[in-house]
Amino acid sequence: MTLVVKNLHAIVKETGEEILKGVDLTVPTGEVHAIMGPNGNGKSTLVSTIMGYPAYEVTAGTVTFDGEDVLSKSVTERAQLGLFLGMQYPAEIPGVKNIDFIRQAMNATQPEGQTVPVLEFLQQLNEAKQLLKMPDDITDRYLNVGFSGGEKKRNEVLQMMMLKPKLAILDEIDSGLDIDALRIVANGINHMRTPQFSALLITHYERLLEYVKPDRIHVMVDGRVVQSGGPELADELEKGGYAQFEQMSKDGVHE
Amino acid sequence: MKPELLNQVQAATQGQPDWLRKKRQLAMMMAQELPVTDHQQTVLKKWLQNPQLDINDEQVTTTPNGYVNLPIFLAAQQYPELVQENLMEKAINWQANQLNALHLAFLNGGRFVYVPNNTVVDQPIELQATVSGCNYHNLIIVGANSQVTIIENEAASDQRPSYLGTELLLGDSAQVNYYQSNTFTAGHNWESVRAYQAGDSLLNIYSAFFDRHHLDADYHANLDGDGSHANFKMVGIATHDQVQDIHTRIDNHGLHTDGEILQNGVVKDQAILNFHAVGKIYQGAHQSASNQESRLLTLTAASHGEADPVLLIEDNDVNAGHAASIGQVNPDQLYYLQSRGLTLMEAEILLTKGFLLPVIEKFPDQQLRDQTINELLERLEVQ
Repeated sequence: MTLVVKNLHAIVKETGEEILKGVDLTVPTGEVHAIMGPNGNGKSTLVSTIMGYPAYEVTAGTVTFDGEDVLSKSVTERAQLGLFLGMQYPAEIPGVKNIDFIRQAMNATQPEGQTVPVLEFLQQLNEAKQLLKMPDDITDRYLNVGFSGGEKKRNEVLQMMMLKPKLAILDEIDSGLDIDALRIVANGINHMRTPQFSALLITHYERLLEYVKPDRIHVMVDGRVVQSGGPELADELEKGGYAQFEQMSKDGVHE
Repeated sequence: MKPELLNQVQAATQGQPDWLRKKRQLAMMMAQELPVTDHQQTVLKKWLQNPQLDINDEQVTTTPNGYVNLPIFLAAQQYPELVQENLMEKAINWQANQLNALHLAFLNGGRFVYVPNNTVVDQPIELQATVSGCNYHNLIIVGANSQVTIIENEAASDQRPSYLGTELLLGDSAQVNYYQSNTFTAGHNWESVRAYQAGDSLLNIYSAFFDRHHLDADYHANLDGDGSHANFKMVGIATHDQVQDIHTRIDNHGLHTDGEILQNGVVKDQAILNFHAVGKIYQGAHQSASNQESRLLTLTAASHGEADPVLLIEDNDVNAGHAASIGQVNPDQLYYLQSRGLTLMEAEILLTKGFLLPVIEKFPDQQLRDQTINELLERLEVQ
């Protein structure tokens, strides 16, 4: 279940502007990786492109998951393959109850023809809600409608816990969270960690990584991964900031 | 009009009360002089080419305690005064246009429901005929201070255009909940529901337009009595190359009357769905209210519709407002749903349901809400 991104180039369809300029990245099964880097350097574009967001177009490179070509698949098929993207700005969907949506999504990602029994579903949902300290009625509300920023993030993590993807990509799941909420969300992610589960965290603060220890950290600058290393890379970043890596990017230096 | 048509009407009305025979023949003769629109013309043409005057098989149940529910032709004999005075006179007027006149002349059947004064009918009255023949007409009279819920689920089975008409006549302080969800077989059909309301009466109409064929719908409430109140809540779906034209109008004549229209619709493929809503407050209808809200969601670039509520206000002392919107489906919503494993179709179904649910949730009866949602899902899932 390894995710392999090779020399990925992508542009914004509408403007033609190139955002990803040759990304190389490997996330092996069972590992948690983090991508860090200043805002506006392609982190969100990278994960949106992996998930198939229609506003971006891949112009070169490959993405495979478990050996399967991801880029030729529809968004639906990518999800069914076991990919999950916890979004930075999840859409609000009036008239669709959170609980009904989660149940339908769970059934949609089961093996062909299988469904999750109702009681089992409700039990899992309650456990996950408790772990994330979410109010009981949150699942009876319309999907993300009127949710606070923090509630939206937790609801993304809730969906991740329910859908049990093979690879969860969490795009700035920590932004806008206070320290208590951050701990709760981190707890939810850690709860998922097994040798079969991998995660890719997008963040520009190292704070999240104090609670969710990554196996590898990648630094992304100007549409490329310019440095990769162990968890200690986060400390370096905290001390030296991104400036050193921005220089590296200009010099064209890779790992 | 061909003379043999008149002969056919004469033959078909044999055995019916004299007044009804004369009225139907007169309608046949006068039809040609009445106004007609293009949409009506397409329906009429098919009727005239091949008129169908057989009487629809109707269930004759023993009249339940407290109210009357009879086939319309039987009622014409048993309740001649009520039927003669009201059939296509006060709500759906047979002289309004050619189509209405021929609807009367070619009438195949219908129900007569009469709830006398001061009667509360506990159980809903269900009108669930399989309608053969093109012209079916319900006449519903609810007396003063009476209360009733009526559920109309007719299935029109003729290959020629069907016209399902329902007249609702409400006495003083009568309260009626009226649900309607009809299905059709022909390619182009007509539906008319018109109400005449006396003082302090309350009419709630809940309609689902889930049929798959072209439809012209004409909904109208005449708030004649002071303090009368009409509430229309409608949901519609149009798919493929379907055209649905939904005309809704509430006329405020009486003092402090209130007319409210709320309609949400979803359009897909190359379909067209139009909500034409009119609220008219006549001069002298002081302290009346008229509000309309029409909303459309278009799922595909080729689908479209109109939502053009119109307020015609002649009085100064009123409360009136309208809102309309036509919006395309939000691609971020589709992406979000698909990113969780739902197919495009499943995502569209959820968004459609989500768009119509705020109206359906206003239906007061849980069972009918569920039924409407089931019909909706069935409509969306079977392609």
